Amino acid sequence: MPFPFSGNGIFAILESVFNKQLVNEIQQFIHKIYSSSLLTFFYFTSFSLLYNQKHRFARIVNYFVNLIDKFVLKKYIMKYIGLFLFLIILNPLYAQTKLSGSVKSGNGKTIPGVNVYLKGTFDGASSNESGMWSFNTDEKGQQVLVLSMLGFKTKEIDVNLSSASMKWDVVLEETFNALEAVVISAGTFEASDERKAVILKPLDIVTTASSAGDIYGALRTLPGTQQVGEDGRLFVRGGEAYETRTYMDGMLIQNPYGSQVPDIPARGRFSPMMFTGTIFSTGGYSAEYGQALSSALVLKTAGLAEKTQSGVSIMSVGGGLSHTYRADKNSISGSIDYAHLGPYFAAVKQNLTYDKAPQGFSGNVMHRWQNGNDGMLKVFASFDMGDVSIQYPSYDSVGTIVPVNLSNRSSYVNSVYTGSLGPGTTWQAGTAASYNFDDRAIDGDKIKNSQKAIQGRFTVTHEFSPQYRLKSGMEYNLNHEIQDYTAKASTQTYSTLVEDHTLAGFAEAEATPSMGFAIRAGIRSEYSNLINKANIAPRLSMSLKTGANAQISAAYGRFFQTPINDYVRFTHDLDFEVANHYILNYQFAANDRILRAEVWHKTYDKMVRYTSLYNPDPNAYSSDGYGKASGFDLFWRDQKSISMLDYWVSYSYTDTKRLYRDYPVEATPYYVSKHLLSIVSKYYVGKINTQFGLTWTMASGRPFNNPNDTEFMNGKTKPYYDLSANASYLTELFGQFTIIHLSVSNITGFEPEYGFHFSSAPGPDGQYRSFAISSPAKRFIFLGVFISID
Amino acid sequence: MKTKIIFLFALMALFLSANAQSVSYDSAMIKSIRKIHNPENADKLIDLAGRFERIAQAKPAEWLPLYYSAYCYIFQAFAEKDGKQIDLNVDKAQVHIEKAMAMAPTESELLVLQAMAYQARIGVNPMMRGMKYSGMAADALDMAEKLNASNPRIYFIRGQSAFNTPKMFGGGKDAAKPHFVKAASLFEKENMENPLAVHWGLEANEQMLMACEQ
Repeated sequence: MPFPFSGNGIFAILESVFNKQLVNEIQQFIHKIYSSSLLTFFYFTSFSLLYNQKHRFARIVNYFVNLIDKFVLKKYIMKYIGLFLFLIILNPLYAQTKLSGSVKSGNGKTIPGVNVYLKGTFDGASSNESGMWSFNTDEKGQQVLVLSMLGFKTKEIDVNLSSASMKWDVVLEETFNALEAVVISAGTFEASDERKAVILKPLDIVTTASSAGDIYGALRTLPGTQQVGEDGRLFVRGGEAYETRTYMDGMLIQNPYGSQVPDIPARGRFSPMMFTGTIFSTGGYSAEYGQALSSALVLKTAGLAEKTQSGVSIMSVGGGLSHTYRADKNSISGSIDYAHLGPYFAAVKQNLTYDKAPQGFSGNVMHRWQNGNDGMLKVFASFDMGDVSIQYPSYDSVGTIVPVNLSNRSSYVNSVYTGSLGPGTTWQAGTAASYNFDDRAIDGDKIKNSQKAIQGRFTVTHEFSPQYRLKSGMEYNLNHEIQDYTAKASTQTYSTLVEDHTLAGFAEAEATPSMGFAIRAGIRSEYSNLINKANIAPRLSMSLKTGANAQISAAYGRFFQTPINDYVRFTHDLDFEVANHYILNYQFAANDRILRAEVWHKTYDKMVRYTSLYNPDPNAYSSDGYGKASGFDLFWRDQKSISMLDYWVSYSYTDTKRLYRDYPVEATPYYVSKHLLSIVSKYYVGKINTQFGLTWTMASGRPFNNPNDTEFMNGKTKPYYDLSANASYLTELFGQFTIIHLSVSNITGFEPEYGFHFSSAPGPDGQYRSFAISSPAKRFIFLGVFISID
Repeated sequence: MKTKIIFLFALMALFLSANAQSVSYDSAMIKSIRKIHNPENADKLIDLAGRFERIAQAKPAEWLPLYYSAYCYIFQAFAEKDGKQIDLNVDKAQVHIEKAMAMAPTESELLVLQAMAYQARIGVNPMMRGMKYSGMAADALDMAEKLNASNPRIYFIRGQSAFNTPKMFGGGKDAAKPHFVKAASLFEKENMENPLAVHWGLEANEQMLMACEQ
């Protein structure tokens, strides 16, 4: 209730007596006078003087006054002259209005730094740390109070400045910001420079001590993955290596790993430095990705290169040259690498005897073209050739050796164009082709595999608003493989052909109705002409913010994969292998600390079973296997508590059993450790420009089948430990920026036990002879010098 | 008669007050610009940014209030330690820079400010962002130089970024000094007549020159 003797109080009384509109007009009119009251006073006196002196100018003024008098004054002002004068006298009493208040966000948090002002004037203030604001104004009457702050919807309030002090408590609604909104985190580890809610940055992958510069090596420190040291590929949540697929810019990579020889871990073919974004999904992923039963690794390459630059690398295992040329709208990079492990193997003792140490050439070319604001063409081409020849001990006749040769030629081309179809709609068209030729000789048996894959993909994304999005697409995949098998000392070559054309379509809607809730629902359908079967795969996931820094996510999905080439070589009468994923995830992220806990359950169906692999009898294969898996993950990362120290801890628990392959009963597969723990730490010492890394990994023993045991898969290896370290020293060499990198695996010299090979027949004592599978060398030491030349 | 006189002056006052606003744009600007350059106000940059923002909305045809508002946010970003706050302040500045650029597309001062905004973002995570944003900042400065090669702030900012870059990446005192020397000669020639125009940097440049000689 305004005080009745204040100016505004009087206006209030007057308003009740006179026409409100009129009072308001007069009020503003008077206010205008007072807003330049000094000047008014000056003119008042001088003109009064002129008027009294009957000056000619005064007479002119008088003439106009009379004129106005006739038309305006009599009609309008004179009628209310008393009121008019009264107000003028009282005006100083209400000269200023004090405006104040508080400003909060929808969830009750105070917002500092909000700009509060009267529209069209300079009068205003910013809210303080506790969300309070206040300012004085000379403005009167109807005004618009504006509250504006980046990240919030600007609020305009119509106000009538009619009392000495006025208060508003305002709630601002957050504008939708895709970077800040809740992100579906169930099953997903994202590494990206763009999103704010990511767990790993791309560089984190390269600098992880146990990774040895391999993407897959770094991902093995995340929960949900297995340590299968003799294989090197990714095994996710009870799934086999083939159940994880890798995609580059949306295109499937048919051969993401180098070709393998037994018991020597494979590495990824592509350098982690090529990618600016990595999404590693351990389950429940988007309908965009198919033909992966357990896991999807989605890699995104960089756009235009930043600058023209050259690079030279000199490593203990080889060397490389690279050059990047950057023009305005284009960039082209090329690199060539040569690796030869011979000198290294001569210096560091190996457990195996090499006739030919691993060696090879690889190279790639990358072209980027920025077309206008929205268009981007990415072309990537790579080739890879490698040879290795190893003498394995024979498991059947002691003292003899089994020579194994592998020669691999591989190439991959991928081009993706992203363009715009008007506001909110983008399209992407991509093609990929890969060729992989493996020429193997195992103890005189010759196996030649030549595999071709072609993919075409087209997607359209329509964004109705930043909150609602629909993505749909079509895919075609050709998988073509010819295998020629020639037995030792035979001239007869057996050829088998696998040719599969897969057609797939998907649609997925993503909605984030508020910053705190997101839902994604998709459906995917695939048809494979090889097995002549079609499938429909629904996917659903959602995320809910439960606090300022906490969220829960849930995901469900049905996943299909055509049986791998080895299984369909002799029969086509099989079905898609099927997996259902159920995931519940909790995530807390604040101040560079992240805690994630995830519980998951999977069921498998229609897994391929066979009596023995490579059995040419089509009836030896069936799709009646099944299995289930469940477990939980914990992940903790802290980049804050200790300055310059960044560490993460991941733990996974996996409980799984399957009836598949040639298993006579349901059993836990050989690649599954029940308990896994990794601790990754990185510490930067600014004084010596060096980053140190240390990774500690532990895995409980894995099952293996001991033919000397009557129970299937009853053996258990000893637990696995690894302590790896690395150091990267940033310096200057010949005036150019240089990184010197040293990494050492298995510092403690632990002898791992990955499993056992057994002789194919029992010996005279009735027992099968066993041979432990261990690492090819006690430890791997890598030294590299990387020079960037500007 | 008395009424007539009052009415006459009331009309005049009305006329005067209608003009009062354009008079006070200059004075509001000058007052606020003085405040930014007063080191005592280092902790009031957010308030000042808000003040310029208000001037900008009342005078939507002027790019200078937007410039100064962005300037305040960027200096605030440099003062912040928390990455989220740095980004928030630069985000605010960025909105103003873009708006101002649309009004004055050939203004080299805005590109200098843009370069500073990129540099401020590096502070959030130098390892991750250093390469990307320092490249973008350098591009913005090159563009500013094309538009007005006699803008001393281009060379001052270039010098600063060289000064703060480790020697092995091609930075250091020796690399920075020629930029500050060039800036100093241009600062001398700078026309100081218009009190609203962008003038800052002279003292800071002198300090950097001294730091290079130590």
